[in-house]
Amino acid sequence: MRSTLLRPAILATAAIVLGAACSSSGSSPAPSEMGPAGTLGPGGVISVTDAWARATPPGTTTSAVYMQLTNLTGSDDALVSVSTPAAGTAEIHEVSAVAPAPAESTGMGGGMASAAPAGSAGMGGPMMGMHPIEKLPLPAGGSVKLAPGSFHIMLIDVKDPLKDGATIEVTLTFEKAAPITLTVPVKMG
Amino acid sequence: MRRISRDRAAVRLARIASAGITATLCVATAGCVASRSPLPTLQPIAPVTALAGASVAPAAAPAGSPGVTPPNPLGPGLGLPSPGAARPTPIAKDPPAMAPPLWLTTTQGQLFDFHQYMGTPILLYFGYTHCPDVCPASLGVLRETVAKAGVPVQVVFVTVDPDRDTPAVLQEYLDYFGQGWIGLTGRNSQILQAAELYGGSYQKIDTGSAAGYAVGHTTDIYLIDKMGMWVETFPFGSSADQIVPELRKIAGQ
Repeated sequence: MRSTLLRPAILATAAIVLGAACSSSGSSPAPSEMGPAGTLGPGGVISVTDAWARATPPGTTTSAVYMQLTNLTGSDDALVSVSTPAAGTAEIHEVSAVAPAPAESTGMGGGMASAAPAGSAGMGGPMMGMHPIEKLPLPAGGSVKLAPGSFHIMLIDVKDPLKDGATIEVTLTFEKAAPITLTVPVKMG
Repeated sequence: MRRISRDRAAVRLARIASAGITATLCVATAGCVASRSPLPTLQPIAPVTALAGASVAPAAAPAGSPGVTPPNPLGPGLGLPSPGAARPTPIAKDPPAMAPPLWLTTTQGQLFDFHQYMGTPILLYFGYTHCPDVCPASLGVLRETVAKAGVPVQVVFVTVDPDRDTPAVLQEYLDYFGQGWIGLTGRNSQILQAAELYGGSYQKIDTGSAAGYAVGHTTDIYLIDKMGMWVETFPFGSSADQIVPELRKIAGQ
């Protein structure tokens, strides 16, 4: 996928054209808004770069998709859902520090012992855990990177193993901008 | 007006490109009417602090303030990572301490014994196979480290999800990343005790994800020298290029 390099100017042109096209059919009453990228329709435009999906180790049916999302418009937007024929479910996830909680409050049972006493670590980082988020804000003119240890799109119930070198189709749905369907390369990562 | 728009957008994208990001994919719309699927349910799991931009490797949280990371002035996940962004600083164990025991069993059902691996440095990590993000990223770093090191090294992976990671599942998973990697399991109480001896921890978290429960866990890589001394800890985000020199140093001791 890296071989299909597109020059920034071409990207920009495509983005503007699509944005203009969307402005004519968008349902938002605001005709236009002046933003950092110029006058764009209410449909707005999002650019996606460096997208890739992690190959699935044998025996696993979950994976993650990463990319850089750039909101070229002057109005805030958000990634609200993701779908792909490659997986039963796709969720927007965030990895964040997990505050130690007593086992009783997790409601998970399973013989879990109590969390580490405070200060026992003495070194190293905090616990990190992932959880779904309702949407991923894309501020006007801003760029958000989905990357290991941060935001990612989690694929659940991956139907066929994702092999290094293959591609999958992923559709991103936004609060304002039109949906984007991408062909995403699978990498061992 | 349109020309101005293009130019401004071009400048914006040129900046992105110059920041080291290769534009490989662009927009392709399937129409302007969004067809949205139901939103995933959000169930806050605990007071959390976003590791915003963790991909650009924030420094390890100082001891005594777990979960506290410097605020990102641009907001969560924002900001273009600069090429060669700072990596977390490895934490030397000073003075080195005898590696705490791992009273756990291998996927072959044998009690793990550090003494069997005297003479070979060990890279130790705690994780689980249902983790699609942090764990494979860390194991990818370990794989790269082993490949680049050019010295014998033993990778040991302790599951923090023994209920789902059966010995067979665990070994199949590890074999994907490297040859001869050792997977350890046990009862949760045993595994948690082992993790805590290394300053780590883990706990199940019900996230409301369709994937079922997740396991929050510490994500450090521990380096144990060939005499069985724990000498260094590499926080998440460390690169193989950071670990390899340390590995070579202790391999030559």
